[in-house]
Amino acid sequence: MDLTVCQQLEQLVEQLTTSGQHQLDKATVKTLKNICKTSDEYVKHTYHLLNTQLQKDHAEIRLSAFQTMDQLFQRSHAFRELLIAEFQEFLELTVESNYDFPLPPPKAAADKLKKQALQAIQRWQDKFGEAYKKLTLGYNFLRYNRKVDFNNIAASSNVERTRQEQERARIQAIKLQRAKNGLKEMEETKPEIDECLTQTESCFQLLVPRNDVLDFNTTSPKNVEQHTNNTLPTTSHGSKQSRKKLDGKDISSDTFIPKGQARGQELLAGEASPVPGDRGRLNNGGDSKMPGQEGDSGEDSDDEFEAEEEDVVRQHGLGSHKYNISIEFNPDDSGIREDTDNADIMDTLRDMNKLIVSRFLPAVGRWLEVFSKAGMEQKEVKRAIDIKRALTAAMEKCADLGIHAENRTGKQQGREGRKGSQDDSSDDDFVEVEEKEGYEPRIPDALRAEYGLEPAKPETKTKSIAPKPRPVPASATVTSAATTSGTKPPTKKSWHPLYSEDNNPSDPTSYSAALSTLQPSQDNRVGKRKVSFDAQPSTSGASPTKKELLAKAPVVPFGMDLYTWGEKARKPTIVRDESLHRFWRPSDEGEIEVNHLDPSRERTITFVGEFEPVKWTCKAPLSNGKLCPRMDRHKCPFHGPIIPRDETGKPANPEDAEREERRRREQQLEETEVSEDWRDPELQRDIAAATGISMGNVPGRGKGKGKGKGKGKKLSNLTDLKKVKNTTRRRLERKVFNSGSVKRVASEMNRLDQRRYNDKFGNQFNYALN
Amino acid sequence: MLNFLSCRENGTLDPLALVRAETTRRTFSLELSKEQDVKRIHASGANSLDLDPAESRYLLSGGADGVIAVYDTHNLSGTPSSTAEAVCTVGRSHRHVHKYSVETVRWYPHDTGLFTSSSMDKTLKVWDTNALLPAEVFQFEGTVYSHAMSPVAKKHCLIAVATMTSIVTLCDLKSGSSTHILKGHRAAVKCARWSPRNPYLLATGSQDNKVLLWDVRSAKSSLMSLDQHNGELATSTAAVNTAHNGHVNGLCFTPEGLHLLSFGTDHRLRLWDTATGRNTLVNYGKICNDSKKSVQFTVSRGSSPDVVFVPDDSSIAMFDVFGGTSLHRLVGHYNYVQCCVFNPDTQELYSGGSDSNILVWVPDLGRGEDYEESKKQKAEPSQRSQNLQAYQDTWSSDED
Repeated sequence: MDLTVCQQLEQLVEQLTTSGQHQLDKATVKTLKNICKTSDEYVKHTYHLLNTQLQKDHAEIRLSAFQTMDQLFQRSHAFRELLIAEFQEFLELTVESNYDFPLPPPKAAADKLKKQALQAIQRWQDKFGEAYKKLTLGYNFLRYNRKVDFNNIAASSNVERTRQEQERARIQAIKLQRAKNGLKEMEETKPEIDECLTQTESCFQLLVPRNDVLDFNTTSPKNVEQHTNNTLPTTSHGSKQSRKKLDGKDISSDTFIPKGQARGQELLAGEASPVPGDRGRLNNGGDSKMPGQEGDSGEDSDDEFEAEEEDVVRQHGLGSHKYNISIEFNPDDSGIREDTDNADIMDTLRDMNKLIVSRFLPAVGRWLEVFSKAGMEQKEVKRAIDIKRALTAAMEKCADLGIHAENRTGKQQGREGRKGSQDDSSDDDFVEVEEKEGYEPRIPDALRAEYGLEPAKPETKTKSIAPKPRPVPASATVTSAATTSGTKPPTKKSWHPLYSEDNNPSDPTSYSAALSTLQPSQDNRVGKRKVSFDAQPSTSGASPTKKELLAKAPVVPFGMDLYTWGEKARKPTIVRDESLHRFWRPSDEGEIEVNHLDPSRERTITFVGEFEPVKWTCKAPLSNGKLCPRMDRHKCPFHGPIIPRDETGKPANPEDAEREERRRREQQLEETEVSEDWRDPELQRDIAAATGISMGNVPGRGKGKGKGKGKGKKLSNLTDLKKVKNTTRRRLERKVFNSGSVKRVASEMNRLDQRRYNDKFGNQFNYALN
Repeated sequence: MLNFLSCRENGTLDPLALVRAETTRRTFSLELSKEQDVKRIHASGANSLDLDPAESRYLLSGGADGVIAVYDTHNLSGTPSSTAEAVCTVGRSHRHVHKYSVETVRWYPHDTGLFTSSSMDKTLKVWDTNALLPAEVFQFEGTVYSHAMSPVAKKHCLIAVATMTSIVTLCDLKSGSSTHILKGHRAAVKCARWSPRNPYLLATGSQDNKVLLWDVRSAKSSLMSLDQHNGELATSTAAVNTAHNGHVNGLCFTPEGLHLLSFGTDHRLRLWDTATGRNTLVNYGKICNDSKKSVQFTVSRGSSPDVVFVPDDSSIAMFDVFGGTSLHRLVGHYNYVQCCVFNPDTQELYSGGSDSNILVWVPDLGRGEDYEESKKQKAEPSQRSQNLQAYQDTWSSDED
């Protein structure tokens, strides 16, 4: 064995294993193999070198060492003997056969090492298994005991595989359970849906004349219609609406019917009694065109079958066939107008539509999704699809009629204004509660935005605009207005029932609550409130300057200063009794003025200013080309004070730029100092001269980089395990959790607490001592 | 060897000396057998092995999966490489299979018609080998760690059973009942062995760190408690005489029965004089032992010096029994070695481990070359070339 060759071997192995690459350098391997080829002694030496490297706690070193071993294993018998003699250890180090010793980081290299090692062992076993008993034993051990599936090395370990399987089974079970729940839900909801669909369908039938009614080519419909006409009025209120609607819209072109009159008649008839109504109409329409059902059939017949049936004319009380009735039927126009008579039907329809849109359709969609995910039976899926189709059809019909769940006409809203528009809220689960008359919740000013209300103003005139989820009744804003002014009386002396402390409108027994109760109807509320405001001469009726003042006057809790508001300033005194001593007298006998903070005169108001969210970002250029997105108020923890910057992240002000440049240079200098302190160029040159091998470049100096001997000279191209730990999170943690900042925050919080105490209880002697 | 043979021819050498020399040589040169194999039957570790004392032929094995198998170790195939096939097995599908892991299996000391097995399912079963049915089942309160039958007893037919309870139970095969109990230990008893010399002498090792020697004729109390300090430690009294500083989970008498070896979880092996109960203070060094169950180790027979084979983690350590020097280390298992058995006739060693392998260790006397020769002559040309290829270096020509 040649010593220099051995040294060369060492260098080669070091070079190979500390490359940090996942592939070996071919030239180096070739050199190594050339040396090993010459003698088995070198092979043994190489084996020991490689084994030492394989035991390093760095997956990249291990990976490279293993790859080199694989190369030699396939070539040298001596190497095989050596490796297989210590095969247990080898398995531990490469495929983590011992769970107590997991592979070291970095994870990517470790995974790759494991995978490649398993593949290699499989290869070795195929090729040399017969000759090397222990190789076979190791292979069998991996295969039977560690349950390594050599055909599918990706999911190599048994534990992982079972975990995956369990996970899959669990998810499948969950899906199935969901599908079952969905099915159950579907069974339960089915009757509801059916009912809903039936209702919708009947509503449609009531609202829209059936096709056969409008079918002019048939002769029978008149009779049918006639028949229904006779029976319906007693039972259904709705058919009339359809009629009326028809006349309202379609026959409106009829020249000699004063529409209003017809409408009036209709209404009259509707209000009184259905049957007489018919008659009345008939009577009424003796010479004029009848608006109702008769109108329809009459129109039909007159239009098309003039010469046909005499009795029709007679039946309908028409004078002759000479009327020329033209019907405009516009299918595009939904043609349904809502009025008092069909309002109920429309309401029902709307409700149903909403139910379908907001509840049934999403539910059906959900079921379908769940079923398909769980691989449910075709039958169930089909049922769900059928339901969905029916629902969609109903919804489309509604859409054709111009009924949408969301938008309501103003009329509609007005009509049910009393009920409140709770229906608008999409949540069906809430029970509609009647408005309470006496008591109204007082909404604090701070929460008004949450309730969707505009900020409180001294006079809120328009009440009906309360937009979204909970319309706050008129009295609520009135009271809030009252409270703002009430707690802040102009003078202490002018007591007014509305402004007194116990006139809290949220208290039903109070005066203002009683006042609000007296404003009964929505319609004339505004007026009344005006009156009530006018009745308060001191506030609302006053000059606008006063109003303005009131608007910006702060609201403060009641305290001693308000209690003694306007009284003559009188310093509190402490009366001391006369001393009974014979000759000794205290200096301050009699009344002593207290020079303490006088609670009857003063009030501590903490001024914190207004919170203003940060609108700017740091915008310092980052290494990845983006700009720092942090939004700090004054100082970015990474890039220092926030300074104005342009779009590219350069500081706008030249002095800032200069400062930054300076800082950067300093940092760079520091870094190079840190990284270079171990480099001794002299030593490196010596080493290079001695070995004849250039050992990389020293950046900026063009000299060989020392490595090989000595600790801490790890090659830079390996992943630095320590560096991995130096993450942003860690750096932040260091900052946030260091004792100084913790102490600072704690003291600040203590100070806040202390101040709160002082504000609240500072005037009370027993607390003041704290 | 040749010298021995010529001396023998001349009659200058005692025949026993030749046998002893050869036995020693073979015992010392044990290596993993390249040819012999034992069929893989246990799905999980092999806990216990026993070679039948009558013929030294049939190997009994009990596995952690409850399976019991009987192998024929004789190679009758005519070729050097062979796999020991199972003669019979009590598999998982067997009606009377042990529910849990089988801890100990033992042949009846006098023939192969009967064997006993004890298990974690708290039973001891006495099997009829030919019918492969249990002739008797003993139930116990605790799990059974170990049991033993006296190899020399003519007057009694007792099985000493070491269970999780601190009581050692003696089961009489004649009556089929537990005849007496031996009270003395304070914790679970891990192992029990009968002396090969005195039919009434029983040694038990326990979790309370003690080794007790019993004369089963007087069940009142134990004969003696082995003390690792031989009473020299000031604080040591009879009550706290401990054999080890850890649980004692392995016991083995030397073949002549004069000495007892004990193995503890303090990673120590100790040699005791059975007559006096004194610690001989032989130092074997640290031998890894983390087993929670009983460990079976064995001593060679007929070699000089005698060799003890002790499971040491995933290898088997060979020590000179009386000198304590480490002779060799048998490496081949991939997990903890649980048991080993020595074949006194062929100087082979069988070992079972948690990696479910049963390995055969044979004397490696350089016969490999002979086999190679014979193989070369017999084997097919293609197979031979393939085999040769495996042993040859294959440096490719591009590495110039």
